[in-house]
Amino acid sequence: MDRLHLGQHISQQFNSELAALTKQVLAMGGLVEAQLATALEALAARDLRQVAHVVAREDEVNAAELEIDARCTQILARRQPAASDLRLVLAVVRMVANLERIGDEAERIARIAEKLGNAELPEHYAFKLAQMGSLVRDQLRGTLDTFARMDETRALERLRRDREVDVLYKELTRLLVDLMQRESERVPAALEMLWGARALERIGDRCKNICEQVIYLVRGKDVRHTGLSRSAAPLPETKQ
Amino acid sequence: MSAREDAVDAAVMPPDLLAGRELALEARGLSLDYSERRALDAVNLQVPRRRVTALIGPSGCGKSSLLRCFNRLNDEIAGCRVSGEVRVLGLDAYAETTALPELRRRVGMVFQKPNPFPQSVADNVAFGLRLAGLRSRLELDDRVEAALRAAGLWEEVRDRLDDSALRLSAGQQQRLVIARALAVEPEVLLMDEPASMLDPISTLRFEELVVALRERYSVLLVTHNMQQAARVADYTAFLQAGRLLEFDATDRIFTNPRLRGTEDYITGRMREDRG
Amino acid sequence: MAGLCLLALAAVLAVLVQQAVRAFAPVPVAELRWRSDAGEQQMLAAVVFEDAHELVVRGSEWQRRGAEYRRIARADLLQLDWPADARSLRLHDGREIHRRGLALPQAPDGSRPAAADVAEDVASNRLSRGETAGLMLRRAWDFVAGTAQGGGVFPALVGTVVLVLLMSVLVMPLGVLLALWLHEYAGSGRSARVLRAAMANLAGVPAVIYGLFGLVLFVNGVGGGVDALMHSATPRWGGGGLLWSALTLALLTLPVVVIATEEGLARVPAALRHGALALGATRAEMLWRVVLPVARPALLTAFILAVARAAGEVAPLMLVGAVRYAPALPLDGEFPYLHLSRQFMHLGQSVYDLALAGGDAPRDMAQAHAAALLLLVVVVGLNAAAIVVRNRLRERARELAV
Repeated sequence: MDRLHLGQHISQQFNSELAALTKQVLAMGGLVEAQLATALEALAARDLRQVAHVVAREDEVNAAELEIDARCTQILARRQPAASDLRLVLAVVRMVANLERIGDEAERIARIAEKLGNAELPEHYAFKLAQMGSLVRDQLRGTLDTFARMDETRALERLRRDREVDVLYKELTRLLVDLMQRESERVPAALEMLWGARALERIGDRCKNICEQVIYLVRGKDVRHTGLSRSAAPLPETKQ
Repeated sequence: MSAREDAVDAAVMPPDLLAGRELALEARGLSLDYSERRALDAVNLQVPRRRVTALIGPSGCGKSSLLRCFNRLNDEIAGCRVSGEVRVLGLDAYAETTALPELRRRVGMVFQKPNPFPQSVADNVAFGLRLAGLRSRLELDDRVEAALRAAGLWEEVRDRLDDSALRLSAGQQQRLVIARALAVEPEVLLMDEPASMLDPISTLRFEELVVALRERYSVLLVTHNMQQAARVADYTAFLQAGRLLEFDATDRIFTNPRLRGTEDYITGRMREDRG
Repeated sequence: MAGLCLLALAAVLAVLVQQAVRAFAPVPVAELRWRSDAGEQQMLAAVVFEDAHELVVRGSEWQRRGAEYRRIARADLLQLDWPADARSLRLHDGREIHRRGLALPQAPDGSRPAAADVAEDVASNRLSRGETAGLMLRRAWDFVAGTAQGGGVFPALVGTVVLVLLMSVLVMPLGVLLALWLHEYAGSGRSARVLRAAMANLAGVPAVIYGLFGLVLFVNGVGGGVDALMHSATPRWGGGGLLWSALTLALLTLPVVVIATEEGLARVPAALRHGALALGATRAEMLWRVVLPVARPALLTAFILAVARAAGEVAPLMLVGAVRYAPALPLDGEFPYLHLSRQFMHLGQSVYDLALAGGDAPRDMAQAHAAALLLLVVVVGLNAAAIVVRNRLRERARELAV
């Protein structure tokens, strides 16, 4: 937080508005994180009660997105933020969109649990999916953490760890395609599981986007589409 | 309540915007003519208590004229005629029985250019208090300090109270005249482009002060700096060519005004009509 | 422009000084013998003028204002000596007599002045430069500080200063109030327009007419009325006096004060006026607490202009109280210290008298110049003092107005 000197405006009200904004984003992040955790549990346990819980709370996520967007609009209109303040607001707008999509994916995962019903798949498929799920959960938590700390170095690390998700996703996809080729009666269940894996992979990508926004807001450097996440290069130097 | 609704034109202001709010100032059908032109044309304006209300609009739209109706400073201008009704804290400002000094003590004013009197800092702040008949040295000192603190100037001038007020910087002078206005404990503060002579940092300080003042005072602020209105005002009124075009919550005005004219003005699409 | 004004002032001063010096310069004393219609004559006399054709000499003054000048053609001159033991004596009453040696001379009527009467005793023909300068300074001082009987102008100096100050005390409040009314209250109403026109015209009325007006209104009208009311046997207020003169001058300078003050009031920023009004000041409070303090330099300007105008006026004063010789000062140690009904002497009057009415033409003429110089010094001095004060105020105002 202090890294951006957010608390040092002459206007106390502006200070508190920005503080409230970041707090709200973190709260929404917490909510989305909880949604994902519940959805994954629901998938593992095929627990319809938890599925209903996720679906019900999805509205809260959407409401949070709208509220934060409105707040950003208000700040843009009334405060004419500049430099780091401007980047914060822009980054928040983009991050919130990504968080909302993560919420959507979490809901999708929960609904997969519902659709799978009692359909059985071999143990290690579920294990692989759970492994991928916990990796993505960790990515999401870590991503929100980098935002809370305004830590662009860790954001870069997180950005690069997305490859692990991709690797797991490819592995699982290959396994599921094999399964579908071998056992056609299991195609519906395998397909659902594939959707689930795909949703997790999407969440990983969204986390990546959020990390890019953290780097942008701290460093003022837009690292989207630069391939920085793939290279091992450190972040370019910017002003102190 | 019904009287209030009568005075509101739904096209100008959402009818329930100020529902349940006490009013500090109110103009009904207020028109103002200078010797050769009409400056205000049937303006209906309501200014809520303990909120900051901004008056924005292009130069010459009548913002200052409207402001000066509320403490009747327009009386000073030769050939200026006012018709309609002006209510200040519920009282008819233009009634025969209204005592001007009393009215003006309840409605403080801050001007475009800081106008401290060529006296010491302390004497400036004590000016209104002395007019009100306060003589006790001790009490004067206390009230001066309180007013300077309220204006956020005390720390800067506590050792310079006997210096000439004109030695202060422009930003300090502007806060000094605010302190001077606050010292007599008015209920309303009228501000006429008060930050137009200040540098950006002083302006932000000043705005912060205005935001703090709304805890105790009703503020009506004329500004040609739209961003300033956006930053400090709870409500914003848009005036054009002597008419009140739109009145709404500042958030609404600056994100989604209802009228095209307001939108054009705040987005800088204004055509200068007739100079 | 300012340079030109200073040049003019310097020229006037130079002429005055050059002429005035002659009033104080020692005159050589000669032993003369010459032919005249009445036969051969001889006398010890001061030679006040001398050229290739004639001499003008002045013998001892045995009577007050009885100096006798003789014009003697060189052709008639039989003998002209400058005896080393010739001395000029000035008596306390201003008369000058000459002698040779130490014995006091005898007047034609047989009397002799007592040693105590002698104010100054100079070996006229044997003065060194230093002694001459000292003598002149002493004489100049005697002239300025001396009583009227001794040929000094001190009473006139006091009369002038007191009169001008009293006039200021009268005209300033009146003029400022009038200006305030005109500028702050009357607006552009009919009465204000009439008053303004009157002011502009009054400023152009010749001073002597004010004198006549003062005589009729103050001296005969008010003064006579007061005397009648008090049943005083001798006219006390019904004659010319200090108060009536001051009032007449106040009337004379009123337009100047009003116009200058109004200009000053017009320069007080509206922002300050509005600031005061917005704090709940009444119009009077605003004027008293804000406008007048800010307009102080303009008030001083008005004062300066009034003094400059008033101090130089003589004509009206002759009608309402200034006299050639007043038995007492208008200001003394006797209660009530300032005697408003007394007649008084005035430097302008002195200049006039010395220049026109004196019997001792050359010396009085020189003294007239000296008195004129003094009058100028008084006027310039008063103005300079006011200007210094005003500039200090302005400087402060400028400092304040950064």
